[in-house]
Parts: sequence; structure tokens; C-alpha cells
Amino acid sequence: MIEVVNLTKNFKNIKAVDNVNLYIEPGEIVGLLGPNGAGKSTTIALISTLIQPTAGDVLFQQQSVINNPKLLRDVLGVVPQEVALYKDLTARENLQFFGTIQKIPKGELQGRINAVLKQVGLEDDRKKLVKYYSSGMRRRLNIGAALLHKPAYLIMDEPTVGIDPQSRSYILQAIKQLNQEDKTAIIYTSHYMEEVEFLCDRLYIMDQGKIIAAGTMEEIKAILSSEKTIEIKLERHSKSFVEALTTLKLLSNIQIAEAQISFTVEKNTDFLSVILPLCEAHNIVLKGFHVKEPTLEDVFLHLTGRALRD
Amino acid sequence: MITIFKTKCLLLLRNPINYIISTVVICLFVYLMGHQQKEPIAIASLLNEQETAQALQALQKISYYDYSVHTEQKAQELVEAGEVKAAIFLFDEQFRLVVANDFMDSALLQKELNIVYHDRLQQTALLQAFPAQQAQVKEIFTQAQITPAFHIQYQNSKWEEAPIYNRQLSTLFSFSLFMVIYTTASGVSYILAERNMGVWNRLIVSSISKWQAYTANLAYAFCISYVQLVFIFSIFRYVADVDFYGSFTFTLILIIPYLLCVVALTIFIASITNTISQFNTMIMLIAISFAMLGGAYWLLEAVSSPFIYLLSYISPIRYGLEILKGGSTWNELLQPISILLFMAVVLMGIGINIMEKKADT
Ligand SMILES: Nc1ncnc2c1ncn2[C@@H]1O[C@H](COP(=O)(O)OP(=O)(O)OP(=O)(O)O)[C@@H](O)[C@H]1O
Ligand SMILES: [Mg+2]
Repeated sequence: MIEVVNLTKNFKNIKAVDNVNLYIEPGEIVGLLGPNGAGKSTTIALISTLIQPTAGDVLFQQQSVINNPKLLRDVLGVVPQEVALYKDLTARENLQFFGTIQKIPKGELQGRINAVLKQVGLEDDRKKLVKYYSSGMRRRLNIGAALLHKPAYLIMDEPTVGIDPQSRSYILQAIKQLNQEDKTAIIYTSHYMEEVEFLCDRLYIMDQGKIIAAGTMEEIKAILSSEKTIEIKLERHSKSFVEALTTLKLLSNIQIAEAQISFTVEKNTDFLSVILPLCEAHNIVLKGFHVKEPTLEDVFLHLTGRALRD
Repeated sequence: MITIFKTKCLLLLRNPINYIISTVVICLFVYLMGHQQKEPIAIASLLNEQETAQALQALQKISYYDYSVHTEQKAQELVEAGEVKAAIFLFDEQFRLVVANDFMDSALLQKELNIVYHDRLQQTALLQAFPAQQAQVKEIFTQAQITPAFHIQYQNSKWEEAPIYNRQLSTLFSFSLFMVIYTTASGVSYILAERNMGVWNRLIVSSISKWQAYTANLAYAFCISYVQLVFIFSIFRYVADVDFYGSFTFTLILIIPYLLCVVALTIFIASITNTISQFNTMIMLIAISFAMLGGAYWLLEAVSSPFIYLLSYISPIRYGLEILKGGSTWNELLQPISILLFMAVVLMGIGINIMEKKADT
């Protein structure tokens, strides 16, 4: 088990990571969800002992790894947020290089390289220079390079950023498979909640360096169980209508778009009896409405008052 | 560690263009500088025509000058006006050499003239001793010149005599030491590039240690620079027949401390810059100013500003050239070598430290 205890990292006057506590047990997939600049990558750099914490500790099997990183490094794979590969080498040569510096025995290396190429679906392109790869292929190889030594723990920092939907679902499938077949424990960082919902057993939501919520998907969504989110569709709306709407005490988290307004209300509120008269009074046509199941997005909005993505 | 080194070599083979170009540029430049337009030297002679011709013939061995005969006054004027770098005045029993202060080959000219005058004085002395047999003495003399009883070879051995000023060799050393900084920098820049693209982090979380990662990269930077210099020197030694004064192998050993210092210098610069383009700009500035200060463009003896001369002490190129152009004793070599090694250790220590600090903030 990897445990993170009261971890803090300051950069000059920025608190990038602020008193974070989390853990990951063998074989599980844990999500780390947060908007840009939340401190996800910094947390990961701290766990993989690339940088030293300002305060707090990272424990592996109850032992601190800050001054003795070897223990953890041997069982840890890290997929960095940026593609970290030699562009003038082929996929094979890249894997050969990263495998050798992982001290994988010579006899096993070729077998491992082939297995990994298969896992990330690059067997046919193994002899191509990486600089001629598409960004999806680079991402896949970027993951592959962290799998060579069969790490028991894998940390992935936004491995699907900036790629096409096809590569993305391929990667998500591969990760799931990796977890189910090799029992690899995975920390999955993302600001896409769909990915986290699809993959993770548990998750942590991070914002401005702090963990603001933690638990299983159900537990986290239960935060919102007392509320529901309503979307109403309008032909148009006016300033005075919006103003009147915002003064209503029943509604919260009001989000206004061109022809659509969403808000949350207490679970058993009869919101229509409030909204309809208001529409009539302002001469606005209500085209429809929709009651939404809470999503992680809503949870985030509820907790921070801000949207997860801009 | 060996893997890192081998991979770097593979990357070089994939993309050898810059390396080849810089090698070719150095060779071309040195070659062209060595075969520059001949510089004029003025000669004023009080000797008779035949004797003047003899002296000229001897001087023409130093082929990169163009000798023209003038009156004494005219020669003096020319050298004072800077139109010629040197004027030679040939008198009956002695000669006088007037040179501009950036003239490199006085020693060479002096050597040739000494030989001429040595013969001349000998002949005159004999003629005076035997005034009756003038014809015979002359006869014997010509005979002796055609078939000398024993050969005297003048050897300007590097380690025994004054520093040599051979133009082509000197250009070769100066320009190679200057240009090789760029080659070393291209090797060291991998560290910076890998840090920026995250490959370095992969190295750190892998099973190899930090010092292995540094050593492999620095060894690579050193090796490509060393191979380049050895290649260039060999070209000039074996193809262009440049005289290394019998110390070719020794020269190849003597460039090692200089290269170590350059590797350290470039890692230091890498540590205080953040991007590759910053690094390259900085290297360019540093290399050029060190080359100027260190006397790669002109002789340090020609520097008149005491401040600039003082600054030259911080340029590794100064010490590199000092070593290559040769001191007379081991002790004289020892000083620049130890200064270079000292600089190497200090710069490397500071550089790697700054880099490690930066990684953490
Ligand atoms: N080396 C550094 N020096 C100074 N500030 C830094 C450094 N690295 C990160 N930060 C700051 O720390 C905060 C957290 O950054 P971090 O990269 O961990 O966020 P993130 O959650 O990974 O964001 P993203 O989703 O954009 O990758 C940001 O405000 C960032 O500007
Ligand atoms: Mg990040």
C-alpha cells in the first residue's frame, strides 16, 4: 500500500499541494480528479519521489520513501503528463532504452517489449520513428514505456489529453485490462469525469492543492443526494428575468447559457410552481425542462462553486 | 549507463548533419586561413645584388609572405604606416627586423636570417684571413655548400625552445578550441532537452542513479568533442601535412584538460538557463567572448588594454592555447593544466548543484 500523509509542497508563495492525505491499495484503481492547476501533477511528482515535499511523508509498506526511494521505484511505473520519449528513435528502440535502464534482464527484455507493444497496440508501427507518430500513438507508447518492468503500481498523469476519441477509448480499455489481468494498482489523474467514472473504484477530488472530497463513486455522488439539478430550455431570456430568478431563495448554483439555464434545488421542491409564473410574468416561453442525475461535475460545482472545466 | 551513452550515439547517427558541418567548417576555415593571400614584407638591403638575392631565396622558404625590395627609408615608412607588418634591413654584418606588434612570425624570420648571416660572416672571416687566395676560398665555399661535410638540421622542438609561431598550426589550434565548444554544448544540451521533455524524470524513477545519468551524458559530450578534434588534427597532420613539431600524440593528450573544462562550462551554462534556445544563445555569447579574450582571434601579446588582458585569465581558451603552443618545461605546462582542471571541478560542481536545486522548486 502507498500512503500519502499530510503532504505539502510550496513553490515560492504558491501552495501547490496543501496537506494532502490519500492511499492506494494493491489492485485498485484510484482517480485523482481536479481542474487545471489543482496540484495533481505536483502530487504525483511527490509520490514518485521526483521532488521533495515541504512537509509530510509518502509511505510504502509503512516505510518512508522520501529518503529511501529505491523501494518504491522498483515497483512503480510513472506515465508523465507530457510525452517523454526520444522522437528520433523507433518505438522498439525507445522501449529497449527504457527497459534497459529499468535493469530488466537481457533475456526477458525482448519478450517484455513485444508484450508491451501488443498491450498498447503498436506492434505494426514498432519500426517507425516516434516523430512520425500521431499524438494518439505517442500517448500509447508513453504509457507502454512505464509498463516494461511490470510495475505493481502505476501512476498515470492525464494520459488521454489531446487525443482523438478512438485512441482514447483504446487507452481506457487497455488500462482496465491491465488492472484486471495483471492486478496493477493505478492512480489515474484526469480532469475528465467520464474517464474517472468509467475506470475508478475510488476517487479523490482535488482543488487548489487540497483534497475536497474522497470516497467511492456512490459516496461522492451522495453528497448531492439531497439535491437535484434542473435544466430548463427557453426560447430566449431577458435580463430582468434572470435577475428575478437569482433572487429566488429556492435555487442555487445557477448557470446561465444562451437558451438554457440550470440550477439545483432541494430534492422535493416543486420548482415548476415557481418557475412557470415567473416566465409568464416576464413573457418568456418555456420550451422544456429536464431533471438530471447528479454527475461528478455537479459535485465539483457544489463543492467549489466553479465548473470543473472552463 | 552504457545504454544512455549508446543511445546518444545512435541519436547522433540518426542526425549527424550538424556534427559533420561543424567539422567541415573548422577544416575549411583553418585551411583557408593558412592559405590566405600572402602578406607583404618590405626589405631594404645594403648588400650587393647577388647577396640580396641569396638572402631572399632563404627567406622565401617561409612561403606565406611576399617580399619586396625597397630603399631603407621607404621600408621604414611602410612599416610605420602599417602597410607591411614587417620590414627587414640587411646590413653588411648584421640585420635589423622591425615588426608590427601583432606580427606572429618574427622568430621564424629571425631564424632564417641568422642562418644567412652565419654563413656570410664565416665567409667574410675566411676571406680576411686569407686575402691572397680569395678565388680558392670562394671555390671551397661553394663546394662546401653543395656537398657539406656534415648536415646541420635546425629543429624547432616544442619542448626545448621558445614557443613556436607557426601560422597554420596556430590557426588550427585557436579555431578548433573555439568551435569545439559548440560541439560539446550540443552534447550537453541533451540534459536540458530531456529535462524539459520529461525523459530525465523517467531516468530518475528508473533503476539507475542520478550520477550515472549525469556521467553518461557528460561522457558523451566529452567523447564527441574529443573525436572531432582528433579527426580534425589528423586531417591536418596526415592530409595537409601540417608540422606538429613531433608532438602529435602529445597534442592529442594535452587537449583533454581543456575539453573537461569545456564540458563543465557548458553544464554550468545549462544549469543557469531554462530552455534550449536560451542555452544556445548563451553558449554563443560565451564561446565568442572567451575566444576573443583567450586569444583565439589575435595574439594575447597584441592586447594593449590591461583590463582586457586581465579578463583573459577567465577564458579556458587562453589556457588551452597556452598548453598547445607549448611551454618550455613541464612546469610551465602544469600551471595551465591545473587551472583548467580546477575550473572544470568548480564549474561542474556548481552547475550540477544548481540543476538539482532547480528540479526541486
Ligand atoms: N516548478 C514549479 N514552480 C512553480 N510553480 C509550480 C511548479 N510546478 C507547478 N507549479 C504550480 O503549482 C500549481 C499546481 O500545478 P500542477 O501542475 O500540479 O497542477 P495540475 O493539477 O497537474 O494541473 P493540470 O491539469 O494543468 O496538469 C499550479 O499553480 C502551478 O502553477
Ligand atoms: Mg498536471
